Amino acid sequence: VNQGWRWPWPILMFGSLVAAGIAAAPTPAAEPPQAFRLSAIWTGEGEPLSDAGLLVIEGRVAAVGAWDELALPEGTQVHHLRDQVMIPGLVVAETAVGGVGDAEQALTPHLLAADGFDVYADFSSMLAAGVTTIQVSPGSRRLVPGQGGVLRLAGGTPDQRWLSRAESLRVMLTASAFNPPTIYQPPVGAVSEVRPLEPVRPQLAGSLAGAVAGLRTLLSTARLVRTSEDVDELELLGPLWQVLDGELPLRLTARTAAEIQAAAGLLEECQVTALLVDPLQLSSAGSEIMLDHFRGFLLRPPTGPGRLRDDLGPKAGEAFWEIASWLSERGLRSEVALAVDSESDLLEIRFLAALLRRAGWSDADILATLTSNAARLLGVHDRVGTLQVGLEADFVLLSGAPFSPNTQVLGTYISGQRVYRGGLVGDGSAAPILIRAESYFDGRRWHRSRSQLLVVDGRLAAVGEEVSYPASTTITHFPAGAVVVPGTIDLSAQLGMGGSLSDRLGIEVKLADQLLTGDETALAVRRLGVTSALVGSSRLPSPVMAIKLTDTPRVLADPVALRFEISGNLSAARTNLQRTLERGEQYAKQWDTYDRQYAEYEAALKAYKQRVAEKSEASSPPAGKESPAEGGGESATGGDTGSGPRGTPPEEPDAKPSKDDPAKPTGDDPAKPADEEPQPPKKPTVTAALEPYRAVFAGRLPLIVEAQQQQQIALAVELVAERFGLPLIVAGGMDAVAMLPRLKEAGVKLAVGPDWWVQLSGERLNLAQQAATAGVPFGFQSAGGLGSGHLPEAIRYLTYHGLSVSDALAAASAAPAEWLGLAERVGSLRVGADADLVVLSGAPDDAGTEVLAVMIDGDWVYRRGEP
Amino acid sequence: MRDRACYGVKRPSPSGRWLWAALSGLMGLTGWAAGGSCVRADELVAITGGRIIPVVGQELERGTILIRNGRIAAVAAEVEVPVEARVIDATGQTILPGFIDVHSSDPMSQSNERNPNVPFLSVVDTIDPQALYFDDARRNGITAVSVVPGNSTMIGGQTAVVRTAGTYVNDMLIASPVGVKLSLRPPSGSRMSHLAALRRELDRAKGTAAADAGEAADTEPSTSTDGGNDAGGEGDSPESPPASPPSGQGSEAQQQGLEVLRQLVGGQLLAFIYCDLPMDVVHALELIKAYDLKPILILGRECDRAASLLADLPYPIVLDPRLVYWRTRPNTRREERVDVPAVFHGLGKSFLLQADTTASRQTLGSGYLWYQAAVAVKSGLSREQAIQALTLAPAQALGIDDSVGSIEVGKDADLVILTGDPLGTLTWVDKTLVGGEVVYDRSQDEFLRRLLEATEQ
Repeated sequence: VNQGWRWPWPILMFGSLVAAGIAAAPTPAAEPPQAFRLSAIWTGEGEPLSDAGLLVIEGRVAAVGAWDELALPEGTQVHHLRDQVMIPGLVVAETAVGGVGDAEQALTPHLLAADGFDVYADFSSMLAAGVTTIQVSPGSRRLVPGQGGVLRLAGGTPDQRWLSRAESLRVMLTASAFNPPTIYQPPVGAVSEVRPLEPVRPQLAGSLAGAVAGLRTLLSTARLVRTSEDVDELELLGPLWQVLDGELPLRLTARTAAEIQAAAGLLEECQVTALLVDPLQLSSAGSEIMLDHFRGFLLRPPTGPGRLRDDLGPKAGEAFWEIASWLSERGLRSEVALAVDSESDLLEIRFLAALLRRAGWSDADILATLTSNAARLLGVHDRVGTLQVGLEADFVLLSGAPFSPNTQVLGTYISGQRVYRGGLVGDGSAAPILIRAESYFDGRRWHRSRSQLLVVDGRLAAVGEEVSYPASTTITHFPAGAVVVPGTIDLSAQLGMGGSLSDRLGIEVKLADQLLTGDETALAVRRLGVTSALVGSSRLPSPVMAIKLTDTPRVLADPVALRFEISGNLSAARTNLQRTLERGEQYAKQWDTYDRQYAEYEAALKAYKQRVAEKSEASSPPAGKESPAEGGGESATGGDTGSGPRGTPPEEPDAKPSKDDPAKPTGDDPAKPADEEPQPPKKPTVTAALEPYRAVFAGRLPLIVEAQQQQQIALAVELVAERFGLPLIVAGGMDAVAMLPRLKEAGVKLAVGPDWWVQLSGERLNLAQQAATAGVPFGFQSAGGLGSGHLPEAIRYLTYHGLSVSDALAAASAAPAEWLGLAERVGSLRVGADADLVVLSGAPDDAGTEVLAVMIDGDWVYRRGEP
Repeated sequence: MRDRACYGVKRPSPSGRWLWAALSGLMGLTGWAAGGSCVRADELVAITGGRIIPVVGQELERGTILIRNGRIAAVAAEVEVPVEARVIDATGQTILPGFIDVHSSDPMSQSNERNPNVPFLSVVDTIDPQALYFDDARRNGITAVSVVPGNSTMIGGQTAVVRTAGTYVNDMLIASPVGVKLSLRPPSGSRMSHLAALRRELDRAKGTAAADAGEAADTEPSTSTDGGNDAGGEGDSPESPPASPPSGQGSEAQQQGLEVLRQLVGGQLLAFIYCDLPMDVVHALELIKAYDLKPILILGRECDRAASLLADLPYPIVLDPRLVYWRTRPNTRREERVDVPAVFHGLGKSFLLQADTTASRQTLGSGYLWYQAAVAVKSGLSREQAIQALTLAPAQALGIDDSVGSIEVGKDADLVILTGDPLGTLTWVDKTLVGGEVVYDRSQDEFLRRLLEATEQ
């Protein structure tokens, strides 16, 4: 009894509910047009377009050309990728990916590789290599193994990814296909008597002659017999009819000269053309007339660059670039595409294709073998292969020219959707960055040969003329003449706190709480090359903190210095400063004493504990009676042997080695001299307002003293540097120009700015230059907010007036970092330091030089030409 | 076939059934069950006092089911029980329609032939009514099973739906043939030749069906597509040597097979299509479209990856018994837990469940349909949906919902009486009824008693 088919109503109901739900939900707005601006676009045909753009609308290329001429519709989303290069998604015209495998019989023209190919396999590594479309082959070890297909590797549902499920009929005229398994017979089954046996089929003979004869018979049968009712015959003849009618292309693999000639002979007889795959002996196979039978040539690059092979490749035949060269001499350069066996070779396809340079081919010609040529030979050139208007927006973003060393795939797109994103390493963190420029200044010295700096995890991992780098590295080239210098350090600025701070602050105040994310001033200033600054209150004295101008400013040191000023009545100022410093010194000394005493106490306590331990060991047999609970065994043996000191006793007189413990031994053992436990020294009271002075008097925290006039400066030097011996930076002291020798002698540093010029006896002097000449270390300060951004420009100005570029750059970076104890992290471009750097378009003292890029902690915070 | 004839077997009288059952026991059968399904026409059974979950219609907290002649005569809170009725007191218990196993080859003595192309075979010829499977099925409340050849085949033969109680297969049949098993996993060789071979068979069936339709329409003799010629034609193909001439039986079998495939292509028979991998789902959908099949898709473990393709299609799907599994992501090498019912439920796609009875199953629970349903509830299904997936949904998918799948007047009295909550782990099947007859009674389950004795000790 056959049950009538009924759709299960719950499924239908559920389905309709879902459908209603979908209909009710707001339909997602159509994706806005996307425009990409790149340094170059290789369309797949001809030479690249520079400063070009591509417009994508609804997954297809809507326009391509020079950026200036591109008409962008309203609402276009623009991607500025001006150091990147775009090429079409790569098309590989023959692969053996997917292991589709061989059938049982030698002649199975009706089989489709698409049937055996797992479209749900993982293609991410191929997409990461920039490959977007592949040809999928049936097995290679049968004479006529079946038909290949053409698959896009992403986009849509799996069944939509086939560009063609029957792309060409594969014929293998190669030795490996001549010896298929012997006569095919299905295994004997459980019900053999009633089994609908498939007919037993003989395989063709195991030689080239036999194979060709068999194929010839088959083809002539197909020509003569144009109709059949038999299913088996249809399977065999159907595809051949299609081939003869020109509906199904033919793809012949033939390696040796004999095989190639046999292939040409077959084609001659049936008046069809074919793709010729792997013609290793093409040039020796002969005549030019023969070439007319082939509408394309698929060359196989040498395999396995990822692993050394212990042979020299195909024995008989020529290297594939030699064949390519031979073909291009005959004007067939545009009929060449590449064939690749394994997935691992597919991942190296650009490296392998680049070998065609040995044939003298241009990069554009080479790219065509992986794009326009391949798509045309596969018959899918109306969908993919070039970046022409109307075709699928399948493209790849590269970090450089497609076949140059070090060029990385930064993104792969199918139908305008990104399906692979480069620039990330396995765990999703930022990939290493390699910066290439013409020269760099490491903070002290110039390196004028070419420069490479590798940034890993926000730090400089390698710096030099040429450095090694991981495979995932993103490489950033800067144009000729580009110079890398350390980021500028501003010794006084009002940044990162949303404006200037003029509150009266105790010097113990931690400023880190005041920092703001996205402080507009800081964001503006860093674009000009300032990467770190010292910030504090403009009301002095004030603690000073060192920050980096990241989006949320990062603290380098808090505090990094204390800032004072000397102004007004000199004697009052002297008294004030002296009293402050004396109080600080006294406080610091108190703690010094305590620290020293505590160290002594600790040593004494250790010695005491050891003595107690020894004593208790010595007295442990009698003590054993007292405390039988205490595991006597160990101590007894210890006592007997009198061996070396034991480990800590079980009941350690801990932090409170109070009265009972010492009392016991004295009570028990009056014979022994009383051994008082050492007492810890008395701790001084902590005074928060004086705490920073401990660091100051330990020489760890410099004092920055603002002083203008000569007497004021002299006072600062006398008191701070000479009397108390503290590290001193004199800020803004223009009159220092008159007393540079004294400053040098006292080891005082200068923070120059925001004024640069000083009049001395009618002469106009450049303070920075004077200090440099006199050998007084100096740095720069802007004492401003947005003004901080002018600092790099001011430095150029100073070099215009006699300051050497090296001195100027050192004063803006390495020198202050060193005084402030930050040299490990900022101020210089050396391995291990933070990647805070500025890329300039030319020499820092050249008037035409601009900032190209600024990096802080390994992130580009500014790139010229990008918003 | 629905009207169960007794095939001349002398039915034991009710009083003699015990003796008969004891004899069965002596013959080496486990348990008491196997009662047979022929019921005296006038026999009345009433199940009283239980909570009734009819699947269709309102749940009754306390109601009575009256069974006459093996069919449900009345379901209500208050039903007048005739004095002559045998009363089963189900107070405090829960009554559900019997569960339906939608895809099992366990009742078969061997799940697949060596030959992968056997459309002419029927599972009916291989079902052993005394198979241990049926004992377990009754013990677990399963009253009907769709017997389907295994997955290691191409065209595996015709399927049937049988009751889980009976002495002779013909007593047990609910429907036969119901469908044909197709598998997209090649038992050997490559997938592309497997698919090509499958297409060839379906093409042949489609071609002859179309030709027959043409002949029927205009009597003018069109191209000779006689099946006999077909068979002969194979032998005559140019590169075939004269193969051993097919015996008369062989070509008859081929004819039968062709006839079956024609019904399949015409949609008169269901296509049970096994999809091993997600890629097979793509192929299955192509075949369904090309040959106008009426499918039930049997999904392999990782087919959740193709769930989006199935979500909007009305085809019934049967999930792999391993409902939750771990998958390694190829690019990150990280393991992730995949909850298959949750994936389909999230897409709004309803599904059927099957139990895993292979020895290699990973959990004991997945051997039980009710447990699979409980897992699905954990994955987000409502309890009603889960119970439906065991009862009405498979009945509808198999096209037998006019007689089973819910507790409605006129339907067969295939019922299961549970001691408590349908999906609870502490619930026992107390009684299973097939055609109004108690075919399993826990109080009589010697096997279970001994098993529990052992655990108690």
